[in-house]
Amino acid sequence: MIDITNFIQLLGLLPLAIVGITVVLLLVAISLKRNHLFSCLLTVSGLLISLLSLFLINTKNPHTVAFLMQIDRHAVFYVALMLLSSIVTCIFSYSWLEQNAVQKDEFYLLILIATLGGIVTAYVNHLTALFIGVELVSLPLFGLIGFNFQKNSSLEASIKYTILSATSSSFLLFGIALLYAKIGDLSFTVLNAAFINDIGYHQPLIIVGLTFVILSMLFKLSLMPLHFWTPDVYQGSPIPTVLFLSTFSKLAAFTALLRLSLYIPFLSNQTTQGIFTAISVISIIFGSLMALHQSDIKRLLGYLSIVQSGYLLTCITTIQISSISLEVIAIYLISYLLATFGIFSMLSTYCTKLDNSDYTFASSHMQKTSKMLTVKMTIFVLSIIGIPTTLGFVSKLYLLSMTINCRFWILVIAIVTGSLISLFYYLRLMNGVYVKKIFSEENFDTGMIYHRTSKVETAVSFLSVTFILLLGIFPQIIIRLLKFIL
Amino acid sequence: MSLILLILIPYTSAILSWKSKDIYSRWIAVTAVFTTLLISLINWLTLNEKVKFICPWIPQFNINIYLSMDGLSLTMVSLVGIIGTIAVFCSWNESRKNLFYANILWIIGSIIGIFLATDMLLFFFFWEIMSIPMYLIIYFWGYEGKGKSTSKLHRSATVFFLYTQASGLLLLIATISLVLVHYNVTHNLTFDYIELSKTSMSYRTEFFLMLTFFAAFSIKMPLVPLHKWVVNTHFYTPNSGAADLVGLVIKTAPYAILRFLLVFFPHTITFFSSVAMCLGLVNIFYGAYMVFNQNDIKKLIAYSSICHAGFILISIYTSNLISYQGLVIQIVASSLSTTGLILIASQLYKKLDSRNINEISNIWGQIRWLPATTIFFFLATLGVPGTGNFLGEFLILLGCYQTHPIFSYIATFSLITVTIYAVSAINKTCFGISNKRLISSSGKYLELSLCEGTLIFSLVFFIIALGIFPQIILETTEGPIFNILTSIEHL
Repeated sequence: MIDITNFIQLLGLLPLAIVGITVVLLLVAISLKRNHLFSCLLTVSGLLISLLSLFLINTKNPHTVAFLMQIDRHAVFYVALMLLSSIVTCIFSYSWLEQNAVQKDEFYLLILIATLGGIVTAYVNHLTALFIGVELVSLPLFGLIGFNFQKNSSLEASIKYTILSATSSSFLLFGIALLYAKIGDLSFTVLNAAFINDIGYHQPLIIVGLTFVILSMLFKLSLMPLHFWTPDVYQGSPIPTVLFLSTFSKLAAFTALLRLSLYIPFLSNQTTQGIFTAISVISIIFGSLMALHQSDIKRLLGYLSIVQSGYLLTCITTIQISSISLEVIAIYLISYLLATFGIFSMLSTYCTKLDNSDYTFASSHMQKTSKMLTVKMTIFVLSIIGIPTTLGFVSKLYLLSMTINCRFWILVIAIVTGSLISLFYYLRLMNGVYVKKIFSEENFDTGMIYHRTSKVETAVSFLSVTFILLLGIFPQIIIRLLKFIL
Repeated sequence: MSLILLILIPYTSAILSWKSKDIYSRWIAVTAVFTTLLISLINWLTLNEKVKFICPWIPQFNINIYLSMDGLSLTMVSLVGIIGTIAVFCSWNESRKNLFYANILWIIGSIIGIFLATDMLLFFFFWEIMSIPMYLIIYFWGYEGKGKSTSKLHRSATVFFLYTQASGLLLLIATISLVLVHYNVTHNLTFDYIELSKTSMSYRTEFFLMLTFFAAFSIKMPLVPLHKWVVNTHFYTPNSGAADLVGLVIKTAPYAILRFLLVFFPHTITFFSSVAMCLGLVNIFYGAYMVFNQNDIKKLIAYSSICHAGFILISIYTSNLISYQGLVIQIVASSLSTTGLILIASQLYKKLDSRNINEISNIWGQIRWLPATTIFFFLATLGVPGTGNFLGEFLILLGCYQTHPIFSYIATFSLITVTIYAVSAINKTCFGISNKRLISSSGKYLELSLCEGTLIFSLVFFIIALGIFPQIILETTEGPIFNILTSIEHL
């Protein structure tokens, strides 16, 4: 007889199973007959069903599944965010693939596999699962980055990422091995016990092992000393992949680090706090400074991703001392995702065919053709800057309150300086939509700007705008929602 | 109820005018500013009741939409009404009207919000939101300068935004810190001005919080090392005269210092007042010195308003009733006279196609009414008796003499420097070498249109009325100023 409790436990894996089934179905579909639209629809609907299945999961009491994973509210929340960003990536990639790619359907396959990995990292409760999740996310990315393989830059980026990512994975593995050598168990619960009993800080093997594990996470998050791959890879990747990198892959790495630091209290130590603070400060400030002189928009987005990771790391730094840091992270992520979706919807509208995408990417006819697009872009950028009435302001308010409350004055100064520097390029990005005479005449003839947006893309950017404004003007909605979810 | 209308009308009509056609948008704007002005005038009649509006906004953090109006706010709001009306009328023929008017109304709404907000987060909200339309106005409608590319204009818009953002971020940090300090003492999370003003804290905390607030406000004020954005903004804003809103934007800072900074951190005043007064003196003399070197009439206006800011700062730190009353008069009068000069500058530019003071010369007798009013407004800025400016400066110096006589002595000397620049500007524009431009310009008699004339003469009227009958403002603002003073002195 099937054990009922076991069944409920397995229910938690439903989103994972659904995405897995979608992978198989898509494989079969591709091998039978290639149809781009069908593949896209299949992927999106699989991801949607998986998203809906999250409602079935009992989150009241956290429970572990097969030692490897733990299902709780946080996990479900982050899975939802990841599925959402996968869906949006699929939607935006459709038109790009239609115009640029030879092989179209494999893109969705890779995204689905990465999503599998992302869900695993959100559930992770064991270092083995962590490794599986992280690898499942980064392996498909090799393909996604090099998807535009006719182009040398794309191939170069792919090879760069492959080598560096493999190195970081070996770091992770090495760290895990060291931890195992000392503790003899890889479960987070045991590791937690080791740190609570205070032996963790005095054992060189544990410290070195944990450092290696964290270093590989920091690499995936592209934080400052380990950021060198980011701008190059972003520049070489196709636009949908850049979106995927800056939303999904960042989320996955971040969730892994978050769970690590939630369950293993290494951040209650002053020294580790200091190191994390230093990393986030240099990421924010130097990332912003280096972004100042970029003329390629994808490269710019790479540097912005470093800066955003820096902001996210500040929340992790205070996770053991501040009671609201989880809320801050959630609000920050939501506002970041919405604004990023929005900006990429603009990019995919106007840059789909641009090879060397220029900074000011917009068309000269934007003002005439679509007033709405200009307004949308303005709102997205204002939200990232953190102007009141947008969701970005709420997240800035939360972030600053948290850091001030913890008395991390260095972080406060870094946040302020970073956001002042970042004004320069965000404003340039925003003004890009207003500026005229960007493209020469022959570009118009090839029709690269008058790429028609699909209705779905417009709907996504419209929804983002609505949510940014709605939640920005009435933040109590999102605060109440998060109180309920988290 | 009337308070929320004062804010809602500009905002909603901003959206309306943005969405409507060019022809309707200006009428929407006109109706909006007139209604705002009317509502604020109605409030003059029912002054004795303290008007309030409270409605919860973010209940989790106890943040409310809390507006209240006393005599001081009322004076400022009416000033916004008057200058806003002028801004709408004098940009009657701007290109892309609908968006332009939307921006202007948005600025007006935000400034009114700043003067009414009693909740600190709401105050910050308006403080921050004001910069976007200003940025857009400079960016799209700005004056590029002769033979210069737009890139300079765009850079100056960015610099403007940078300064205001720096000010906004400092203000946000200071507000959050103050609220958290209050929360740690009383375990009551609130952004309410009255609650926060009772916060008790150590002297060190108080001092650092005060410095953060002061830094935030001094950017907007502007104090001298941080004044560059005002000069740029004055220079690059459109010539039509909508720039008079800049004059209002910088008047929000002294209001904020008077209303918030002094009341929140009363213990620091005795120590900090001499520092602030020194800064004020630097402002006055630096502004006056810079005015001598300016050829561009808009830059001249900008530096003279920096000069006024110095006077205002000195008077804020005197903690003296007479001086504070002079301060209110000075704020109103200098806004009006700056507006007048901006209008004159826009008229001169329109007629003569130049803003260079050396090229505009000998206009006396050439354009009907314009030279006379030019002289009037220059004399008003230097504070000739009979104008509001004279009264303001006089009361400030008088009040300052009672508490800080030395600063009063030094500040008095500025009257001489101000006179020099005003007189030399009058000389250059109205008299001087005969003007080739006027003669060559198509031979027809240049005249002010009815609308332009009415605007300029109504300003003349207001300034003189303020100088002769200041009693109405003095009486209105006496109560709130007295409240501020008692809260400072009852430590």
